Amino acid sequence: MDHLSSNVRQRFEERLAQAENRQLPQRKMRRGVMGKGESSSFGMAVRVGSDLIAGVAVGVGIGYGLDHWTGHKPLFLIIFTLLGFGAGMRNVWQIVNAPAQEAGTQKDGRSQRGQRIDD
Amino acid sequence: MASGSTIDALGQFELHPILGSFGEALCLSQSPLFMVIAVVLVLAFLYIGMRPAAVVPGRLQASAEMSYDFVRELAVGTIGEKGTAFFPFVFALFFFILTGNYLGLLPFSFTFTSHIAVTLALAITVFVISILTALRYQGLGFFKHFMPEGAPLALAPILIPIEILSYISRPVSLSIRLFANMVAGHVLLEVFASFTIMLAGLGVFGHVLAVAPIAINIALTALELLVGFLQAYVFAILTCIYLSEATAH
Repeated sequence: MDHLSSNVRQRFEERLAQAENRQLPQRKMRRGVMGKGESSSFGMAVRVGSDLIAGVAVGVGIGYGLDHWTGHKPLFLIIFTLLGFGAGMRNVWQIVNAPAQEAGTQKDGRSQRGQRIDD
Repeated sequence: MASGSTIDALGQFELHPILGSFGEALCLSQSPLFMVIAVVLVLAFLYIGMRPAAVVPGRLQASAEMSYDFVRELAVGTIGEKGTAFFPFVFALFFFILTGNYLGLLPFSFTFTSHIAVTLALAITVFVISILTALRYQGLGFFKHFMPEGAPLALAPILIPIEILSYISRPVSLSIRLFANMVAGHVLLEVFASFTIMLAGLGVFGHVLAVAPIAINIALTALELLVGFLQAYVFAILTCIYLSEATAH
């Protein structure tokens, strides 16, 4: 009896693993199609704006802090503001670039970008 | 609230001691109170929802199961198999923010996600966890990501600081986005609500015109419902993306 139930259980585990394997690639694909979390262009716009600002804000913050700490008043502020702007641009570039790379076009030639996949 | 002809749109975000002298002694303000309410609501939703444990779920159980499935799909779909380890974290984060955003839409309530202190704390938690995860899965190879592959070595003095700043700006961006959305939405609601009061003071003509800001406020509330969900979703999915980058080799 015990042997039987463990046997049944094992078979169940196998089937479960198989079922999960069947599910996994589909899930991955669906996620890839959806892009990186842009469920709408509004969300994308907000993301781009805040990422750009965040880069500059971090640069200014670090520059200001280093100035305060070392006493070279405008030097680090200038350097890190410029670097921060670069970082902000880098953030935006990453967002704008990412979905295009993995999505490409669908079979019928339509672009997948900015399209909602609801299922 | 609008007093006379001035609009005090930011007064709603001020923190006051609550619950009389008891709250004053503990420095307890609305923000932690509503955080506790949010946590209790989420826990109650899941506990009461899942208590019947029926094979054919009722409405509440179905919604509890759907919310579980939704976030699980998000976490496992984005991070991959290792996502199961982070699923509870993402679930807690998503529903804490979502409940906070929605609680703020109720009259006389307080939006704790409209304070950058709160959102930055959440974002830094995500940031620290993703760094620790990256160090755990990639070891010191994690630091190689700060030098883009294939870039000429001469550009390293510029590229590496930019990459590091870009990485550090992640929690700032996460927190600014949530906080700014919440503040902007609630300021708009407040401003249009004060228009109604100001117009109502103009006599019969004003009474008729005062309907317009109310109509706009109804539309804005609908928009805020969308924004509240969207921001919680964006926060959760960016957490997943950061964690998936950390777990990848």
